Amino acid sequence: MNAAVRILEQLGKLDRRLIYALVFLATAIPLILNIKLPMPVSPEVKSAFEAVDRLKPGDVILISTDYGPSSAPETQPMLEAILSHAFKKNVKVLLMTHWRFEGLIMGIEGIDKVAKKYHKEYGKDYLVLGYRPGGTAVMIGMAEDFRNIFSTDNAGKPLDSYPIYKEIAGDDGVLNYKDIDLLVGLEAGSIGNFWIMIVNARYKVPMIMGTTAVITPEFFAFYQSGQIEGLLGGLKGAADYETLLGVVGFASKGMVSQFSVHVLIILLILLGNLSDIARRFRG
Amino acid sequence: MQTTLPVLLTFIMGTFMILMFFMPQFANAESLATRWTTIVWGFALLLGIDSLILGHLRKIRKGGAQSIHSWGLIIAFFATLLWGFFAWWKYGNPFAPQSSFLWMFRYVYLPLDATMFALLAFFIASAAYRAFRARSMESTLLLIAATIVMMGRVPLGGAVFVAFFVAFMLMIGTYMLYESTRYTGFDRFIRIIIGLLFIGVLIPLMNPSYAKSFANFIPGFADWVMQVPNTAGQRGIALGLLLGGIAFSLRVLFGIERGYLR
Amino acid sequence: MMEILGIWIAAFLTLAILSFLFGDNPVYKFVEHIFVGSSAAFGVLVAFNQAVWPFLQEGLTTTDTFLKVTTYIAMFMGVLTLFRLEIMNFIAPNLTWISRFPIAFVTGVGTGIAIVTSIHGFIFPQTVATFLPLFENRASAVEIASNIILVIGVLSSLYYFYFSMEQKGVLKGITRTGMVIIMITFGAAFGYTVMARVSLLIGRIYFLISDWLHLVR
Repeated sequence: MNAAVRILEQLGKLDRRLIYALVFLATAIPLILNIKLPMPVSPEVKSAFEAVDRLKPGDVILISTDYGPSSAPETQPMLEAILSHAFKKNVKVLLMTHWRFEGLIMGIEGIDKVAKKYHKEYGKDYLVLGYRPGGTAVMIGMAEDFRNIFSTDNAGKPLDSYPIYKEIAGDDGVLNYKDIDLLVGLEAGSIGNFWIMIVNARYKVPMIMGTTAVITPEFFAFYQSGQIEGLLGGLKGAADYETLLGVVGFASKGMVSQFSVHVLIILLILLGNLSDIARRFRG
Repeated sequence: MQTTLPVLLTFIMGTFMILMFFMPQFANAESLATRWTTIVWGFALLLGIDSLILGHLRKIRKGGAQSIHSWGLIIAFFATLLWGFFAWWKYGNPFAPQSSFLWMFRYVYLPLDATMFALLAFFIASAAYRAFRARSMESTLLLIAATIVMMGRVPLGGAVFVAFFVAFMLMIGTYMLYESTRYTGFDRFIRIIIGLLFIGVLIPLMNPSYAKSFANFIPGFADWVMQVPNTAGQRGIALGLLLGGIAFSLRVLFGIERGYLR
Repeated sequence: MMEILGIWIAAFLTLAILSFLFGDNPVYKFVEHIFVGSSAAFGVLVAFNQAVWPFLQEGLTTTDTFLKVTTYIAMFMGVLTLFRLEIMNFIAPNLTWISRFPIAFVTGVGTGIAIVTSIHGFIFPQTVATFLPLFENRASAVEIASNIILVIGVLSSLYYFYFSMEQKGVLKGITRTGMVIIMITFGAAFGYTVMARVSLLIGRIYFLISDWLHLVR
């Protein structure tokens, strides 16, 4: 027993560089081995999938890519999965950003990549509105007419010069929230809350959220209240959506690394606690 | 006047925006205010950058071994700025697909931003190992909830959770049985009972089908934890925060809080 | 060719940042400063390219007089904001107070929006969503238990932060319940935070082993 206690105490004094090395290996090895494991789909992701699945050809999705490179491993697979789903259903897509500009660059990369795969044409099937700072002011400014905030698209051409605009704008030729059938917020910050509190609450736009895992727990309150129809949380959310779509993307591949690092962290926490107990036992 | 007029402007604009919520027929006026805000915000993005540059220029003037890093910052700033404006002039948009500036953004800026945050994974593992101690009921509850969520949200997490559960129960049970040897009478008896209970709970899990059911239960249980107790807590915390936020916003509106003017 | 060069540069920068794990070192510090400098420059570029220039262009090209005048007024207010720049402390220190007007305008708009949004967009719908049936004929035991836990959880966690009255007796019991719910919430938040940070690391390592070293197809 004393030997066990001494060993446990020593296991509580591991060098931090050993821990870093273990974390690195736990992440890298599953990726190199390219393992994929099945896992059950979360109900809130299934709801989000169904919200997109209910759309009909010609319906309009507005996607807001409010994230930066630091959240891209989680939200970029979500973007590509949702775009694949939308383009498969011949839904029109509008893309915008109003939190971090980098979100627009990554959004454009994602939409161009997926649009090419589904032979979708810019200006006809999808449009990139661009980036405007202002947060809540942008959301309210778009309520009357998107052109109040985005008079041109990201390329600098007037919004109403594109065929997609003429197709999706209302009978009065004005594009606003009434013409949006689903809003998809891909969020890494608090701006996602305002999409729900302003655009859903005031203008009744149906929405689903794809959030980085750090802020996902907050959004369950919105999901439970019905303010959002679905929620994709972190890499797991992206992987679940890919599973429902029947594709194996980055998120699905990354989940095995996620598993191994989670196990490692829990083992480390347990070791630390056992070492603490052993130290107190000897003391 | 230098303070009174801006405070009055805050009050007028704040009250205006609140009234516009109740008067949708004046949506034009509301749109105008929000459009102006967007334009002003664009200029406000420039604030703070000059302090950064001036601060590092001061470090360069002071000299020393560390000034080389400040040189790196200043050179990177002006090089990026000039490159960007050149690309803007040449292609009409610095982030045009064919522009070399986009190449720099993709292969220099994005990897740096992403890697800075990726470091946190290492630190969270190290910090959890060193500092996460279940010394009270509260911290134990936190640890159990974290374990259920972390294991419930990954493939094979249920199976590993069962393994942890078995190891944990065996450990506590064995410890209690060992501890009982140091006591006599009722104290010894109660420790033996607790130890046997902890180990006894594992007996059904010796049946593989029960163990599998328990493993399959964990992801669903993690879903329930997120949708019920987590939602309750998040809602309670957020309601409290927002009520406080409204109180603070009213203080700003009425000019009691003036920190934003400094 | 440019793509291969870019990948090697990105890999070098990634490893330079990761070198911080072995301790603060000159390579990490230098690369960090380059990041901060280029980040600041991007901020300036984005401000001009994505915010200032489109609106200025619109103001210059539109035939609508009202839109032209209002855009110019807003641009003027934006320029007034620049009196808050630190450099103005050297150029015109007596005029920095001018920047208070556009700041006050933006603060007023933001505050007004925040008040109505918080009440209409969160407090009302979330309160309504908490009014759940505690006993229902056709609901399962789990659903009934979940509803009870949700209602009690929201009320007790809200009460946990109420400090205007001494929490004793029955009230202490409510506070303890709130604390339990909050600990579960924080545990879930910790689990998700770990998941988020690990995901970022997965992204970077995937880049290194796939795009750079080609160990994965």
